[in-house]
Amino acid sequence: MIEVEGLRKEYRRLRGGRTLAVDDLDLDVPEGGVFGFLGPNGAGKTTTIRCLLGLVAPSRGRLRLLGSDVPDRLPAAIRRVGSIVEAPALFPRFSGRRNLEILGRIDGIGRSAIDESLERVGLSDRAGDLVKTYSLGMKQRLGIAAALLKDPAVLVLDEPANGLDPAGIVDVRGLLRSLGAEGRTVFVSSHILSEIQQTADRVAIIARGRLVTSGPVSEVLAARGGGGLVVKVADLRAGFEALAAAGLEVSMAPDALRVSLPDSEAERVSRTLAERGLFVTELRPDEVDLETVFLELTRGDQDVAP
Amino acid sequence: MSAGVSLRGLVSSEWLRARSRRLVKVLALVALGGVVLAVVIGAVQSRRPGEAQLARAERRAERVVQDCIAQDGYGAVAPGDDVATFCAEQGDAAASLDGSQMRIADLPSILRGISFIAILIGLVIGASSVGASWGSGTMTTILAWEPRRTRVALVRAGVVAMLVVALIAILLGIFVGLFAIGASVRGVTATPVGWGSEVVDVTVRVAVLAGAASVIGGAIAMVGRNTAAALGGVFVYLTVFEGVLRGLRPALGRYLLGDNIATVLSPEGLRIQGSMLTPARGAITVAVYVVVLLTVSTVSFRVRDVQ
Repeated sequence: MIEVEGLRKEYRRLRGGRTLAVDDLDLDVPEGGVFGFLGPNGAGKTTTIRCLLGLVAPSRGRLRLLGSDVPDRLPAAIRRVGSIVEAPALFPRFSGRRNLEILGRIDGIGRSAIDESLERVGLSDRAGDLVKTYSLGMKQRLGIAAALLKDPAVLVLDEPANGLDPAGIVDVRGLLRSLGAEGRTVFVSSHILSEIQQTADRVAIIARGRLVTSGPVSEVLAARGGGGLVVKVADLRAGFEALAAAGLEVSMAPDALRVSLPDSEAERVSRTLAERGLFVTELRPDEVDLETVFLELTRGDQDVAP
Repeated sequence: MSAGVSLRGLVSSEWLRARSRRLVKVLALVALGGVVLAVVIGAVQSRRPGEAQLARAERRAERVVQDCIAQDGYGAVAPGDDVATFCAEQGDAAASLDGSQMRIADLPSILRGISFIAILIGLVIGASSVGASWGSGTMTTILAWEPRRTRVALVRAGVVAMLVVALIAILLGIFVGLFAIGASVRGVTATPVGWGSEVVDVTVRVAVLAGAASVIGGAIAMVGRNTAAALGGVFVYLTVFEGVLRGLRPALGRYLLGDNIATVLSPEGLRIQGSMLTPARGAITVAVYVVVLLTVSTVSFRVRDVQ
């Protein structure tokens, strides 16, 4: 659905020299589902998205969207691509509905599709109000409505949850999931890693314009995951001694014990402790979340210049 | 979806956007208010001439004709033209009144006089239609729907120019209508031969020049990606650059935009440094300016990144 090969983008500086925004980036986004595109500020996410939509000319590399080369064949593909780039740019002095009418006319999209899009993002009641009176979250919803207007096969969304309140974030999460479940390909960049972890099927993480890792979320986590089990008991010292005496590899963290056993052998831990009169208050797999993986992989890259 | 349908869609979208813009509505209303106010003031200050006044004016006009014939058309008759016909055109009784009347015969001159305002309106609408898209970032949104930039640039320029031509033509039409009513109630309605076609001719020229100004304003705003840059650029070019050039090399006036706009509006052309510029020649030169600027702006739009 989206293929990026060896993408490189350099910007010329006013005072000479060049800034490298994207460096030899490869991406392969399969059809259907939600694909999370992660990276610190200035990592090159938005530049990549702009290249993908033909807004910025790559210095080198090849991009394909829905099988069409970008930018040469982009007009053929763009009718099936909905997008938001950075903050959704809308006509501030027009109503939300008029904004969608103006865009919809380009593709001959009628009133019913506009109503449907507004309904889907919960903006039907405010559709007649000027966009300049909208909150940031409402503008974001209108941007999503505009992206959905084409009934797209591919959605390219740059930070779609920006400016949304917690309820709005949950709504967007649900919307992205449902769009992915409908068979659409949702390519979403975000810095809200918990959202991506809960929403995306696959992720790619970039830093300094280069791909650091990519793949299904579970595989990315597993590759960096801690493994083992986290155990909490009232007396950590007694628990540690009991598990060590049973021949288990155990270490003591400030508030819990970590046992090097797969999830499937959790029963062995609880039985061992119970036999010593120690009862677990918490027993869970020692999972690594996306944020931990992200920070680990992009350590030192957080302040890269755009 | 075929390219034709898509082009129609883009035109339809741009038309909806252009006619929905608040600036267009505000400028149209302000201009309409100005038109009504000007006609009302003119009518209030006008006095319908009495019989004696008209008789005096007719005698004065007759003397003008006789003097003209006696002096062989003051040497201003074009080769091949008839002196008597030429002199008959000079003896306009309405023009011989004392000047306090609202004279419908003056309309072509008045339309030429207010053409500056119409051209300015066109320039502002054209520049802001493009500049506002860059300012609000909506150029990115539009390109995410129609990535063919040449098409976007040309359709926008064309649609805005059409809107400006229509708007100015309507405003001038309203002005002519109201002026005619005012003159018929409190002024003089006598018109020289060919007056009607001259009014239509001047109205069309002013409207088309305003449309051309909108394309020029939009083209500069496309390069500068800013409304103020476009308006400032045009102002500096016309007043400073062309002014200095005209002062240093008067003969270059025939190639300057300002002089050629004036030539298009003039009834028979302008004489610059001994060479005669006809309205047709002026129109061609203005068209060349428009085409060159539109080409430069479209190429710039095509090759530059959209951030």
